[in-house]
Amino acid sequence: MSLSPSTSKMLSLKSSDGKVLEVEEHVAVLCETIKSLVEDGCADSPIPLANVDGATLGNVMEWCKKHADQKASADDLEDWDAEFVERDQGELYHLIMAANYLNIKGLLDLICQKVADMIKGKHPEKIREIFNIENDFTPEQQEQIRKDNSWAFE
Amino acid sequence: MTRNATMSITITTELGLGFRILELPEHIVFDILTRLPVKSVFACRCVCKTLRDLLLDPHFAKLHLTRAPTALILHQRLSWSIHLYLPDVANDTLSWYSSSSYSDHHRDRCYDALPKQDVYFLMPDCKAALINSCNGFLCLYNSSRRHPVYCLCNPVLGEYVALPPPPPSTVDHTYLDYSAFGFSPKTGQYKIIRFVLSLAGAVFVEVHTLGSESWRNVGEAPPPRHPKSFDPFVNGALHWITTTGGTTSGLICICSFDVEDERIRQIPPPAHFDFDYAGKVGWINVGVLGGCLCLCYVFDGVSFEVWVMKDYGVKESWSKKFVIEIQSYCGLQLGEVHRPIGFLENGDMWMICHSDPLVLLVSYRPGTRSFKEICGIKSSIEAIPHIPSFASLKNEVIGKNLQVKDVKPGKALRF
Repeated sequence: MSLSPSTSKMLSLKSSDGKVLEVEEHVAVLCETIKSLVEDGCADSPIPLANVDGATLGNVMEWCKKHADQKASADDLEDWDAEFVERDQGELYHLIMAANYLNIKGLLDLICQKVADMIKGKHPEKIREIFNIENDFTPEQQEQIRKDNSWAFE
Repeated sequence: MTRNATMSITITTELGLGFRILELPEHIVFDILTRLPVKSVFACRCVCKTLRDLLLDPHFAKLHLTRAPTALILHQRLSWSIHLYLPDVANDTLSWYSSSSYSDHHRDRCYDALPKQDVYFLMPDCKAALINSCNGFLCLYNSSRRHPVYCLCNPVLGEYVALPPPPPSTVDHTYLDYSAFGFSPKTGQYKIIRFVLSLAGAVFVEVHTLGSESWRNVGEAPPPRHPKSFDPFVNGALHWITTTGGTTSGLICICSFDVEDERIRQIPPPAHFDFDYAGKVGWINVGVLGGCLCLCYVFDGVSFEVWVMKDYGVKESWSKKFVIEIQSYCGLQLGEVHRPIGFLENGDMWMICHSDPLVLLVSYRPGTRSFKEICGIKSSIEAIPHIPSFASLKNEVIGKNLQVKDVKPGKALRF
């Protein structure tokens, strides 16, 4: 199915907290979940998205809009994406869950990479701090793991 | 894969705040973890039991291998140790040199020790030479006439296994100095091949399947032109260059050994490789570039060409990747002084440069036509590409009468 911007109609999407967002169809179909509804003729509006809150849906559609823009160059998108993921961890968490639920591979990749970059080069203590993870190892277990892989901790 | 990553974990964050990584669906946690460099994986193993268990899952090792960037194995010939070098391409501070300044720079420079040299791994009972690496497992060979031995190791996990010894050379069977190690994605089997020269002058291939006790003769094969293909394994087959009608003249052929069906086939060279053209080809070898079989050669002493076979086995799919005009790159002597050892995911070519008394690791970036010297080492060194992996050799040799030794990787030593 060809969905060019000129012929694109509007879809309304309803978030978990009841907010309704009007989005061009060619933007919304970047979400595979919505695309299948459209293709199956089940996209009666508003489409209820029970797992995505209004604020997150707004962010997701902002990303889709940019990536549906055929005039955007690869470099341009890369810079834009780098700025897009500069947000607080709570927002990132909701975005990754939404990207998973709406099945948007590009967005999921982007945020997974961002989270991996947050972990890179950090010590275990720092990683626990970033993600609020409790250390459930005994000091002996901890020492053993470090000792076994000492080269990786230099 | 039904385990939930949130099990047995107390989340101290209030709902809606922070990034609750352990509450994510497991496939997303894997997606994030498989993007981590080797050292960060070890750091995460120390964070909590949930992450540790996920990172010890063979499924993680499998996924990580598909994403891990290519590293280098450095090995001082016939020494007891091997070194894993994990380059950080994104955060590399070494500068690139243009062609004109390259050779001057190269003469004046005083070399530092290898930067970011990561694992130093001592082999327990094998002074060996590098064969090649496949799926994160490294194959080494000690060519002792009386007690030849092949071994496999995973330098990241510090695992090592010596394989059943192959029969030694005899008066009527001499082993050529060429072996290769590969894997069949269909059967999951690992195999090593080596070439045998009979007294009558025929060359045969012998195969060892990992886990078996013996080496099998699988028939006659054209002998390799070089002791080593720099990166022989791609598409479930091992590759080497051979020359029909003698080693110095005649047509150049690319031979393959299919790891699954053990048949030897010929891969068509690019269409322009006719008799006249091949006669002007000097140094030539096969490798892997971007997951495709590639051919690197010096033509007429003036250009170094790299060709890639986009669709495996399809003659028409050969295309030129890049050319280095040797005359405009002073100091570059491919084949004699510079030898390609592999390609990075970004297309950079690694070379080893024997520039007496030093051996240098040199990187060439085709896009900007620039060189970079990664390091200089004052000894004879060999290097091969290697994808670091968390896959355990123990899973490959279960029930096969082979003992995997744990050799704790040590602190990185300098050459």
